[in-house]
Amino acid sequence: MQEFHGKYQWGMTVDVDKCTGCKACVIACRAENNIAVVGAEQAAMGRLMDWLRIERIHHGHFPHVQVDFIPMLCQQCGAAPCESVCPVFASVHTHDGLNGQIYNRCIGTRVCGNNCPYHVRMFNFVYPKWPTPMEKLLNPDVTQRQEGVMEKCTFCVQRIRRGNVDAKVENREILDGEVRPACVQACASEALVFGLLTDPESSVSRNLNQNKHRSVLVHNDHDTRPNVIYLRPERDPSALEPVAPLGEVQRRDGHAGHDHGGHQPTPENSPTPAVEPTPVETSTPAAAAPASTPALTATPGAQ
Amino acid sequence: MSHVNKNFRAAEVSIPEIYDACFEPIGKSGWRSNIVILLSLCAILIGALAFAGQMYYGLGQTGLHIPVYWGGYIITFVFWIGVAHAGALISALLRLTGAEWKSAVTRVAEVITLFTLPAAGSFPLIHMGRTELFYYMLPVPNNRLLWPNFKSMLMWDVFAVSTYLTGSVLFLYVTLVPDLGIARPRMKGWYKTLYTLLSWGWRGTAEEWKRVMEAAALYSVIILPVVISVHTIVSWDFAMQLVPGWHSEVFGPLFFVGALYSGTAAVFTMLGLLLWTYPSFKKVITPVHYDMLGRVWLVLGLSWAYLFFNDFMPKYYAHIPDKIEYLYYNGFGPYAAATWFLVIGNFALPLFCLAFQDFRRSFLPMFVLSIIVNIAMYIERVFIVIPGLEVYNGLNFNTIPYTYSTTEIAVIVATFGWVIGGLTLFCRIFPILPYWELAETKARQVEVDMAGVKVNYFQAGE
Repeated sequence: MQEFHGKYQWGMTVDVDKCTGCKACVIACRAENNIAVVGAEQAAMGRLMDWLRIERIHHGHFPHVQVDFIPMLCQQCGAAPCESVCPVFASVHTHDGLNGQIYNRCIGTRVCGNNCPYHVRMFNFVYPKWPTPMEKLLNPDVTQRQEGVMEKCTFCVQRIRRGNVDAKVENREILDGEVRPACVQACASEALVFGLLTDPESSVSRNLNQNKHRSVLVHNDHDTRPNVIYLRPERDPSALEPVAPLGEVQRRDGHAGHDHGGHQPTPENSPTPAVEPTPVETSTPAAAAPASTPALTATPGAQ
Repeated sequence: MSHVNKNFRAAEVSIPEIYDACFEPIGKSGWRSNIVILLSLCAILIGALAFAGQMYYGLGQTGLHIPVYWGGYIITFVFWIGVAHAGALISALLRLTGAEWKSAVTRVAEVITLFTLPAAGSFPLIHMGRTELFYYMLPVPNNRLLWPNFKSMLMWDVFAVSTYLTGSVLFLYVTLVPDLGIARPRMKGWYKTLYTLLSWGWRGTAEEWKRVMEAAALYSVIILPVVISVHTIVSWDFAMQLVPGWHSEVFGPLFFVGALYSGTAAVFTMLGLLLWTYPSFKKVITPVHYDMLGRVWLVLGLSWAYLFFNDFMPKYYAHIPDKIEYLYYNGFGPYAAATWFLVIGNFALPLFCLAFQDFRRSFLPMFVLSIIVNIAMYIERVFIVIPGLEVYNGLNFNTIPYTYSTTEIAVIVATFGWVIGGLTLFCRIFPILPYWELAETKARQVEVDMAGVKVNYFQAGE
């Protein structure tokens, strides 16, 4: 249903069945992206700045409790609520479908943080400080943010740009799995899969196609068109309900019609899983895509 | 005979008496106003220090945290914007509808706008993470080769508030010029110099009067759409977002009517203080004015109540889960006491009291009621801003409640000091009552004997 903005669209699938809640992704994200450590006092005031956090959803009552771990990160929405409200274009859409956050432009009105349904935009309330040896361990590829600006998950844009440059230098396309964000790299159970949604042969596209019947978008009633797709558990299809309203993934299947996300009765509200009538393996991906073999040349004008 | 005295049109006050009443406070420094100005200066100083601390240490000095990104600053911004609407209502609306009793209260309302609007406009800047870069929001050529995002409602806010500030200052000044010109020969010392400079050589010729009247009428027409747009746009700051309790179609009219409601309350507060400070004003500001303005207040209160309940009735009927959670959070959660104070202080009590003419005509009860309504309207803004952010969307991410920090309180109190001290200072330097409008109303007053009953009416103006 969704048309991609450009030739590239980076995306991620999050398999809730596989997530063990180990939080390795959280730590990897902090290390990769120079996320400031605010300290216990500020954290107790609710100013922790994890770009990626694990939502714990509890089901049932005491003897029969189940917990689902839902990694919640910036959904890199196709129609992002944060972008239209920023008065200074600090929050912009990039050519390859990311939600860019430009720290130098940000003046800290925090309206994007209010408008984000996922609560993944973090604000620097205090000046970041690192104890003396620690500032030498910062990642040189990532800007350090100052007090008063917004920051959020970038899909590790520095790695994506590095991949673009490498591909361009070697005059080839970006390989599947060449670019992996820190969280995907750290995920032991491979719950997170990252890649190009525009490439039907990429691992993320294949993963999505194999699990189409359990793929959901969080808060799709706002029609934000996220590019992070959650795969809800096989054993309990209603497991993601507390994060409701969830919309069924509409993208990349031509027969799904052109309805806007949240307005048609999606089967996720019913207790039975929403199984597509068509066989999963034989469904033709990228029916709406202009070409089945998208031209994966190096990204023009990447910087 | 008592009912005759109720009629302002038969008020026994001559034009020289009006002049004496209007210009009585000029140049006199009572101890009461000295104390008020001194306290205001202290408040402003403390607030400036607090703001400097916030600039130095960062927004961590406030009570904000990650889901609740907007707090006390934005609440007070909306509150002051609302109070600033007094000027538009009283001056422009009543001027256009030809309500002759307006003369006594127009300038009070305009001066309230003059001081509350800068107080309001400072808050978005104070609340910014990087205040020093506020000019990124101005559409000026820059090395980043970027325009601001005209799709953002915060940009509309910038334009709306600055337009309204410019317009209301001009509106006030245009109607102030004849008074300055008239009083100039009778002033002494530096007041004479000031009045001479500011009156631009006013001589009182027919041509000048014609221009002033035309300008006042023109400004009344121009400023009304501006004023409606300002608070509607302020409401869109919220209504354009996805937060439950904010994302509401009725916010535009609700904010606008609420602004007029609280603005009128502020005018009553100011009138009460003026009558207490300068008893000679009672010659000019009579119970009739209170009665008429009280009726306007009553109508605004009813409209506000309709829109306010209209705001959450559809949410209740629709039974959208997060909206229902929002409603229960408001009515029975940690904000229950504030919510019910809001309902009583803003709706039940004023609308009951204002229904009685005797209440509307009494100065002290109206003053007390205006204070209650102002507090309740402030709480209404808290009610609008905070709970929606705290219950947002069921991702149980962070449930820490928001509280005002010391820095926020100091900065907010400083703006109260700015408004109160500024109004006090204005009353000592400029005539707070519009002498020429009152004199004009008096001069156009004609008494006719109709079958033994004396009837006062006004000749139509040109």
